[in-house]
Amino acid sequence: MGWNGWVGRIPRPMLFGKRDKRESFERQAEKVFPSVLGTALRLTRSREDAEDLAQEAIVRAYDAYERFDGLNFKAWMLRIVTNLYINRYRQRQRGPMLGSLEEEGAIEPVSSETELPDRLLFDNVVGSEIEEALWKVPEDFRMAVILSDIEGLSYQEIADATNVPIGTVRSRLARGRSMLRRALEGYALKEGYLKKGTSE
Amino acid sequence: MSDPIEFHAFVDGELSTSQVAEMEALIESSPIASREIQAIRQLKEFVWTKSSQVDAKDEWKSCVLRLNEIDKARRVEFVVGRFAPALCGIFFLVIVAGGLVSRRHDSNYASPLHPNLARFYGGLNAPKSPVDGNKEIWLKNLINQSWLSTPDHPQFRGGFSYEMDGVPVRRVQVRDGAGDVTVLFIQRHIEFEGMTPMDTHPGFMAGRVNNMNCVARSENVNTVAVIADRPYEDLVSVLSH
Repeated sequence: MGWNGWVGRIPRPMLFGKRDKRESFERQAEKVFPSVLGTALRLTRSREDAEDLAQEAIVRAYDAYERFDGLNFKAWMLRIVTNLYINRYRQRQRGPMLGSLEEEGAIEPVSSETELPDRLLFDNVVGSEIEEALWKVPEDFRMAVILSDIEGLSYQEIADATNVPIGTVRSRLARGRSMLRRALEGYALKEGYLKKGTSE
Repeated sequence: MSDPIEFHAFVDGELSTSQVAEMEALIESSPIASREIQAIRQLKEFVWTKSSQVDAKDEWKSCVLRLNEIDKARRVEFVVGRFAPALCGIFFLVIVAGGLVSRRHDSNYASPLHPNLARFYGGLNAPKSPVDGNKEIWLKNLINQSWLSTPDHPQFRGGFSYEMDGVPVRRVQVRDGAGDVTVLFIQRHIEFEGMTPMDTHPGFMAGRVNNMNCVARSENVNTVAVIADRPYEDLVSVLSH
């Protein structure tokens, strides 16, 4: 019997004392993994980078699983993947970056000033077009919108994931949604779903 | 309450009960606020329902394989960490025990009590210092006193001091009428391996070294051996002096 065979015969409880650790982690991680990979993909916009980021997040989470507070596994995983992204990928990402004016300027309303009918806009735009529009939103705002509107995290969980005060999360979310709405409108007008100045 | 941020917080359910009541009153009274709230709700729902779901089955399989590798590495680390010191201890004891057994039984190893005569005779790689000064005078006197009575008129030809297995040895070269004789003065009671007691001369041991005859005798804590290419009886005679 080889070394690996011999090691393999040692029962897991004897090795870790927590036989269920791996099974418990795997069960929870498998459920949230599409969100982890999806968030990584929306942040990096590269399938290869997103896979690396998601896998690294899973490994980090597995290592730190004993420190998980047991409350919201998905929020915990998204916090890990977001922090990994901020530390590793942010400097070389190619999307629009946060500008000081965007952080400090007045918040525009989400509702259309031109009275463009929302139903026309929302009925015609498809998922891939949303992803394109999202990518036009500066990164920090995009991150807030993704974590809130796609992944359903609370303000506090977003603040924990992005390491910013909760007030900044509120501000970024309001600005990010406004920017996303403008991007979607621009896209709809360009594609002919909407005509400026026309009504439904 | 007309801060745009508060509209978003209201839609996200992040306002306190009192703030929610205030906001509901504002929505009732302000069409602009109502429209903004509606727009935020629609956008939020729209993003939620239309954002594409990522197919992650293959990537998840890769993660599981990676976790398996991590578990495997941890098991190896555990085994090494827990059992390696004990295994090392056992190996160390085996080595020590083997060394002790070898020390007692290996015929090639020169025990202080049963060393190999050839090693003491040759001195092997032991650093040698010439016998001179007081030592030379002492040896000359010793040889002259013992051999003066013989007609051979022995001559002191020189010698070396060295240590073998921690035992001080003086090797002296003497020439008498019959030729060269090597005398070993060893400061320890030694029974050389391979030498046999002489029936005709109790207390003397006889043997061969470097194709020459050797006779040795131990008394108290000293051993003297004479080595020369001459019969044992002659060596006994020389040693008896």
